[in-house]
Amino acid sequence: MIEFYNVNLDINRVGILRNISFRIVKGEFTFLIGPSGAGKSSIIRMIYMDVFPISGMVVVDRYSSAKIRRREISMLRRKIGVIFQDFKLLTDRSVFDNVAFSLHVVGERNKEIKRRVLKVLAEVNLSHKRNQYPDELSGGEKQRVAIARAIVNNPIIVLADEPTGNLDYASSVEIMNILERINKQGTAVLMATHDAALLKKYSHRQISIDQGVLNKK
Amino acid sequence: MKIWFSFIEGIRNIKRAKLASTITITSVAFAHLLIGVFLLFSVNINQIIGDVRSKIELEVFLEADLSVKSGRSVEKKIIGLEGVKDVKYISKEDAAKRFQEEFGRNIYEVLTFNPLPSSCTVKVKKGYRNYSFIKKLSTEIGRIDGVDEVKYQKQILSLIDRYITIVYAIAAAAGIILIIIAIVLLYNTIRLTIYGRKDLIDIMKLVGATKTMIKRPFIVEGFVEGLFGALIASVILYGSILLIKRYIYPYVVNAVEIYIILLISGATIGIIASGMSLVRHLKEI
Repeated sequence: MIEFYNVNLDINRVGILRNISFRIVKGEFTFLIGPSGAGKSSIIRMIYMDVFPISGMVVVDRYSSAKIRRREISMLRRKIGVIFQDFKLLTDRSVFDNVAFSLHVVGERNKEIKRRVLKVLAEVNLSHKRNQYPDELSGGEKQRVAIARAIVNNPIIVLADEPTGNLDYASSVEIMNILERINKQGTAVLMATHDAALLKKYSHRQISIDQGVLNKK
Repeated sequence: MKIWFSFIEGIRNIKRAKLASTITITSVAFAHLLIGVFLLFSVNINQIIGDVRSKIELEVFLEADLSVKSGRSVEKKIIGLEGVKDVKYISKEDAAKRFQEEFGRNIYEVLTFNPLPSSCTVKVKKGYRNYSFIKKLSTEIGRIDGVDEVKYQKQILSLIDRYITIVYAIAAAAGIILIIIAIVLLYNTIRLTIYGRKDLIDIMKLVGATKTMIKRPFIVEGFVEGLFGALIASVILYGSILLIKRYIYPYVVNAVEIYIILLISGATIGIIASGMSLVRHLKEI
C-alpha cells in the first residue's frame, strides 16, 4: 500500500534522506523510529506528497510520486489522516467544527457530516466536549480531536508524527490505545516517535532511521 | 466544498482579522469615495456643459432689404443643412416687436424707421453642438444668398471644447489611479490575512482541499470587503449630494448609475485583489 523505492530527498539542496526503501502493507501498525532530525517527518511528508524525492519513487495506494498530478494530491490526502505533535487545530472553532472541517472541505452533506463527526467523537471519548474550544482542552484531549479529524474521512492510513511528543505518559498511553483501536478496525498506522517508554510497551514493527539512512535490522 | 461553506468561511475570515478587514474596508471606501466624487463631478460638469451647449444658437442676419418671401426661402435652405435642428424666421416686424418687449419702447418712436434686419435663429442638433462643426455651419450659412452675417457665441464654445477634453482626461486618469490604489491596498491586506491564516490553509491542504477550494473563501472575503467598502462610500456620497442639493446647489445631478458603478467596481476590485494575492502567495505557503 505504501512503498518507498530507493528514495533520495533533498530540501534546499541539503540531503535529508538517502536511498530509502521499505513497504507498509494494508492494515499494518508500524513505528518509524529514530532521533530528532533523522528524517522521520520527511518520510511522513513524502507519503502525503508534500515533498517529492529527487530520485527514487514513493507509491501510496495507486498514486506514484513520479506521476501524480496536483489535483490527485488532494484526492490522495482524503485517504490519509495526519496528526502532529502540535495538533494543528483551529483555535477559533469548536471541537465539532474542527472535525467537521475536513468533511466540509470535501463537500459532504450537512446531515452526513453531523452523523460522522458525532460517531468519531464518540470513538475518541470526546462527545461531551464537542462544543468546547481547543484552548479549553488538555493536551491529550486536543490530540484526540486531531485523531478524530484524521479518521473522520475513513482513511486507509493514519500518519502520526510524534503524536505523544507534547503529552505526559498517561495521555500518551491513551492516544496509543486509540490508535491501536483504529488499527484493529483495519486502518494502517504509521507512527513516528522517539519515545522509548512507548516503544517498550507496544510491540509493533519498527522502521528505524538515522541521519537519513535506514538502519538494517 | 459547497459554495455556502466557502461563503461562511470568507465571512469568518473577515471577522477573525478584524483590524485588517477594517483597514481594507476603510481604504476601499476611501478610494471609492474619491472615485465617486470624480464621477459625480464629471456627470455634473457634463450636465452644465450640455445645458450651455443646448442654449447655443446661430443668429443669421439677412440683408437689409430682403423680402419676407426671400427670407423664408433662406430659412428653408438652412433647414436642409446637416445638423440643423430648427430654424426660426424673424421678420423685420417681429424684430421690432422684440425690441419693444426687450427695451419697452417702440422702435418707430425712437428712430422713425425700422433699422432692424430680418433674421433666422438656428438651433443645432445634439451631437453637433461643438465649435468646429458650428464654425463650419456658420460659413455654409454665410454663403447662402441673402445672408448678411452669422453670429454665435464663438468664445464660449471654443473655450468649452478646448478644456473639456483636459477635464475628462484628468478625471479619467484620477479614476484609474484611484482604482489601482484600491487594488494595491486590498491586495496587501488580503496577502497579510493569507499569511495570518497559514494554519487554516495548511489544514485545508492536509485534509485534501483542492486549490480552488482553498482560494474560494479568500475570494469571498475580497468580494465582501470590496462591496462593503463601496457601499459605505456610496452612502456617504449619496448623503452628501442630498445635503448639497438642499443647502448649497439645488441643481446638482445625482445619478443612480454612479452608485451601481461604485458597487460593481468595489466587488470586482475585491475579487481581483484577492485573486492576485492568492496566485502569488499560495505557492509560497
